[in-house]
Amino acid sequence: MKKKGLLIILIVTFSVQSLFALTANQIMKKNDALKEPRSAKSLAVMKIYRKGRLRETKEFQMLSKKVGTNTRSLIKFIKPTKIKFLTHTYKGRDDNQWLKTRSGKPKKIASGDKGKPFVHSHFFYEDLGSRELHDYKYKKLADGTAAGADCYKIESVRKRGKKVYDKAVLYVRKSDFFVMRVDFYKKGKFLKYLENHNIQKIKGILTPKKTVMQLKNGKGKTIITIKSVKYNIRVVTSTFNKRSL
Amino acid sequence: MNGISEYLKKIRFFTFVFILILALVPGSSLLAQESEDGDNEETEETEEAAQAWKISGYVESENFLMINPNRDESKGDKFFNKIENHALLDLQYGSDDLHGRGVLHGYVYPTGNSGHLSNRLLVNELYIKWLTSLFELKAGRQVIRWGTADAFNATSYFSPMDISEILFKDDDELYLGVDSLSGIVFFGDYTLQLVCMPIVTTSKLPGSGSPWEMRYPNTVIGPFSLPVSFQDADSGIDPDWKNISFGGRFSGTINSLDFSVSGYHGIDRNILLYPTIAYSGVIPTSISLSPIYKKITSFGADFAYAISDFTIQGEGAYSYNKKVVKKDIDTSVPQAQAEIKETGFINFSAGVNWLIDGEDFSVTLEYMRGDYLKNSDDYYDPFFNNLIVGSILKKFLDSSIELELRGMFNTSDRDWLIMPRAKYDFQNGFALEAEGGIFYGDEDELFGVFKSRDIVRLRAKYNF
Repeated sequence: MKKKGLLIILIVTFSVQSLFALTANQIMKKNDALKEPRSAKSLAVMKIYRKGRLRETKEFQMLSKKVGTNTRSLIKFIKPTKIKFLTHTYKGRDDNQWLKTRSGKPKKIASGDKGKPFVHSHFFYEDLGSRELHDYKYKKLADGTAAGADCYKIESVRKRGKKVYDKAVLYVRKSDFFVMRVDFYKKGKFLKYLENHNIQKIKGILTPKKTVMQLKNGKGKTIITIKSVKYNIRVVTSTFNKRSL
Repeated sequence: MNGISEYLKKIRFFTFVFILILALVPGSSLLAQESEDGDNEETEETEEAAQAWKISGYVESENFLMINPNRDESKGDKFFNKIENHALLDLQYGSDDLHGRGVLHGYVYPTGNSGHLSNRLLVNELYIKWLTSLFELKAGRQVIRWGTADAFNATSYFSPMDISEILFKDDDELYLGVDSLSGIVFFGDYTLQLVCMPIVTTSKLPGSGSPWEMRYPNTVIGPFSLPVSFQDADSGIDPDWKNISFGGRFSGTINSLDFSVSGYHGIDRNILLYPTIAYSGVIPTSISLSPIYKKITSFGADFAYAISDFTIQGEGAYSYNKKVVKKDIDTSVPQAQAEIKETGFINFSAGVNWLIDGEDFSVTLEYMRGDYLKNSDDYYDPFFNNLIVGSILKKFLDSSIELELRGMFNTSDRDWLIMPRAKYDFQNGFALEAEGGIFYGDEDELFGVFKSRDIVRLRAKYNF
């Protein structure tokens, strides 16, 4: 009788688990469903380390706004050189980008290769670009931990658009579906990983105040630290017009 | 020339920087996302002051040396050694939407130096900017540069150029601010900009005594071969209401194509060099060239298109009333002077930027030319014409080392200028740079006239 009771409990437990176990697609949909702010303004510092030494420090102000289904972004590099970089990101087609040096006029620039390092850091352009949920296929792996949090592990392979990596493994925190870590694989090998730290909720938005991209071989890393951030501020759309740079 | 590749030094370096926004601010990527459970758990929000001073700039110390051992001192060539200490201070006070901004240049030369330049302060920009969602207003001294080409902008009607020193000036020294009122109206991805310039600022040419002084071969008028000199390099233009200049530009972006159409009525930014003939009785003895300023009406268009690793750009302008100097002088008339005529004129430039290996290896090319639409043989050619401008830039060691070869080739006379450059960037704002300027051609040609004035510039620069 006692054994029967235990069996019932186990059956119920397993049934409940399988009933509520999320698939990879469901997890990523939950991640994707997290709302985005209408606008944001932040100040960040990027430190680039190579062979254990700090080699470059860059400071920049970032401003972004959603305009319809598109995103407009303006980055003002403050140190070491003063340069403005404006981007209009569109769904389903290439971005438009303009650059303005301190003294120059706004200049249209080419998008280039997303598989290249971003400002000599360990981020590739691909790492930082927006991700369309349906451009990838997902597979759930065994659960894991990242930065001390229990996470779902999801393998992600790009199925549309240019493929920079063979695959990426995302560590999605179980408690809130926030991505804590990403392992990147290229040419069949584990290349590098990204980890988010010091995650704070600012106006309800989970914001990592520190993000680290580290090479697997330990020979280099890039740390981005947000010094200040403000969401849903009033930003006039004309700020993102190339004529007003 | 330095401005030609100003962008290209940075283009790839900062290409895609935008993604950081997408990454570090919410939602779209891996680095920041909004929680499902609302905003009731806010833990931190910091903000920089809405009203604040923003200060940036640079300090540089430069040594210019004309090193050509074949200089001809009988023609005015001399050993030229100039040290120039230059600081730029860029000050802004206010918010992004409403602020005042000043860009100041200070130049200091060695005490007791006998060179032609003296210590000076130049306020190149000083304006108030007010930006709203519908319009932008800028009042005061400001640099207004239109067009998409890298080197020669046919549609940049307003800001004149300071080419008192031919080489080694960065864009922020090359383009002069103009005292004007500028308004931009925003219509989505389109804009209409209107500019009124009540008082015209003129371009600067090398003055007499400058190592870059223009030298011209003797000019034959009738049976006489006359020496030519250049005068009044700094002469300006009267603040007469008749000289008020204004223009407009309609711009937009469709897919990956930027385009503009523009118009202008006012003083021609391109200086007209007028030859005044001196006479002894009825015998012409010499010619002095002096800059004069005439009105022009122009219509232009420009475009830029980015595809893959290439950006293609071009622009052109047409004027039906370009003022030109007629070559032939009627020597039968006593004390005859050159005539100024009006003609149709079209000029354009087209070029490409190619990022071969992103920020680390790039090539840029541009071609420009201008043509009088009627009787072109009767008039002196435009100062710059039929030029190919190019640059190859390669960076090493994570951009610490930059090597660049720039050049200009005059397809009409086949004379040229090449400018090799090497730079070490310490990645902390400090950089050391060496650059040369080598001229080739005959003495009556655009670059050939400087062939005995090859120059080297050494520079230490700190950006802050």
